Amino acid sequence: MKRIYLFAVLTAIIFLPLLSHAQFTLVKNDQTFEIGGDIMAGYEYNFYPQATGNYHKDAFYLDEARLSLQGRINLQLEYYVRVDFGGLIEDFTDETFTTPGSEINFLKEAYIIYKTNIVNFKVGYQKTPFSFNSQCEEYADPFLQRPIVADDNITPRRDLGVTLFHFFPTSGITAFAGAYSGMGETVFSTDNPTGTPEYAARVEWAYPAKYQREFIDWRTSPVPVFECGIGGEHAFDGVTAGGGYNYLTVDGTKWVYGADASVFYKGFSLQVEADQMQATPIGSPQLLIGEGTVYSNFKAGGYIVELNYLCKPLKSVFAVRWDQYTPTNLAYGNYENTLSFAYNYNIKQNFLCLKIAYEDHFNQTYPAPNGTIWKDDDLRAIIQILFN
Amino acid sequence: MNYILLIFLFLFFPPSKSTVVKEKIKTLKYTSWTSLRISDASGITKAGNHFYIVNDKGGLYETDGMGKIIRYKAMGWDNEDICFANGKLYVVDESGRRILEVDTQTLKTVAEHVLQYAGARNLGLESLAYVADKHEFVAISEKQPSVMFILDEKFNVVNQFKINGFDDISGATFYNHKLYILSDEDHVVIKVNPDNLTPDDFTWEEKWNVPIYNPEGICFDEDGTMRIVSDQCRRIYVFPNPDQQ
Repeated sequence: MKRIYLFAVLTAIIFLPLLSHAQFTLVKNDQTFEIGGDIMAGYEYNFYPQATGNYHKDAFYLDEARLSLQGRINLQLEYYVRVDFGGLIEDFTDETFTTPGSEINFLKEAYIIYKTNIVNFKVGYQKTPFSFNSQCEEYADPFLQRPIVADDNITPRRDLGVTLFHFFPTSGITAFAGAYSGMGETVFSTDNPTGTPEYAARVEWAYPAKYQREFIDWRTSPVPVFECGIGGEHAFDGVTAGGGYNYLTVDGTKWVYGADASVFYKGFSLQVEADQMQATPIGSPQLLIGEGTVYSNFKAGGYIVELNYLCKPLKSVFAVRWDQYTPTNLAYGNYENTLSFAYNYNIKQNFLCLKIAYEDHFNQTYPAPNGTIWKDDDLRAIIQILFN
Repeated sequence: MNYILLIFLFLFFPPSKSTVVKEKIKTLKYTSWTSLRISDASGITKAGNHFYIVNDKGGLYETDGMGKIIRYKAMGWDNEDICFANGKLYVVDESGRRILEVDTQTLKTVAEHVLQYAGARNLGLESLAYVADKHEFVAISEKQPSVMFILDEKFNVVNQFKINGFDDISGATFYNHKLYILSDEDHVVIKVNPDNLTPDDFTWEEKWNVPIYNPEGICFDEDGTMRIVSDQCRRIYVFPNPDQQ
């Protein structure tokens, strides 16, 4: 497998300059059809504990190899399909792919948007409208890993369902509301025994410009631009599974709340976000045991603070991020802090760039299911190309 | 061994020293701005006593000088710029890859001219201007790369070349024998001599900073007053003649 990754990385390095203009749009009468995608490939180095004898995670890796197809018919209909061949490799190598609770990594999005003057409808497999970090693309972030709280641990990033949304131009507000399967990325392997949809809603506002899902101030905004949003989700599922902590879906009632805000000014950008889940599992009593006591519900969640600076003359982005994740509130001091640093060298903005990121995990008190510490500190370097 | 790879990657893409030189340019000050009742306004031109604004939603608006709507016509899908030439309006539809020829009296589309461009749907032709001195149109793609197409009056491409040195190009207009080009992400306006619209000769005579977020369209009054529309801020900004600032 290492040879495959090495081949992919070397091929990417050789052909990146050629691919950087590989953008295609076809036009036929009242239709447009566009082919795009991105590739992110690089190397990961881990700072293992001293007693470690297995260094298999030090390796070349293919983070993303995505292909997107999108089209528009007149001004009323749009459709999107996005797949990730990097995820397909994960699906092939994951022996539990067909078993309940396993997440699909190949299909990233497949939906149709129907627009009307009153409301727009988005139907299919899509990102659920919850928080800024959960909706942003990884290629837009100077870092190479998502904060734990926004990485499919307390709320699904994607699900099968319908979203209604509308932009109010006078106020600058966009409102989203939707109903989904409740199974998140496990929807293609797992049925929801309750048959109850998951509901999600989000309201976002920006001034003086429109809300944009960007981490970096590419426009080096000459005036401060402020954005904020709040989101909520409610689910009543019949399965406890998924995510790094195995409660992406909970067999019981789950409420999730979140709020986020961003400021952009003269190349600086600051993002803050807080997300909180409260779950009342029915069939998973082990989740309710905390230090010998059985509770009726538990909470999980965390915070993210990210500061980025785009230095255009140096074609560089410098970024620092702190995030904290509490997987359960039933054990005292049970949280994980991560401090991350990133440097991006933008050959052509983020269409073609080199990214280097270091993650320092400290205050780790929560063991992974196999009893070891959840994550090692790591240093990653990748090359990224977008062709859409 | 692992560190050798990282060092190799740094060496492979070293920051260019030439890019570190910072250019000092004058910042223009606007005298007023007004909120538009037009979302995603991306192009503006003046014809007679009225202004015409196009937007990303496929709209053409006839307005007064401060953006008050007089007439509206739906046309195209993703209109990015507009210019006035030979008694007609010309609208560039970015994702439709076409230029629409519009009658100013009726606002009816009287002809469509297809311009093939292979870039991403929202990275197509973003700017359109008519260089009256040469009886040519200039159409410019937005970014990655920004390419200037010189078109004759029948919309045949007579020349094309990349514009380097800008993150993007968002608008263009012709005034007083000069071509003015607007960049959204760099928020600058440059003044170009139309005689220099060739691959080797392209350069600019003046460059000004415009402190506006997301400027997308630019035009001039007869007296040199400059108007710039901001797409995301839904505003129209008025500047005194930049040559006299």
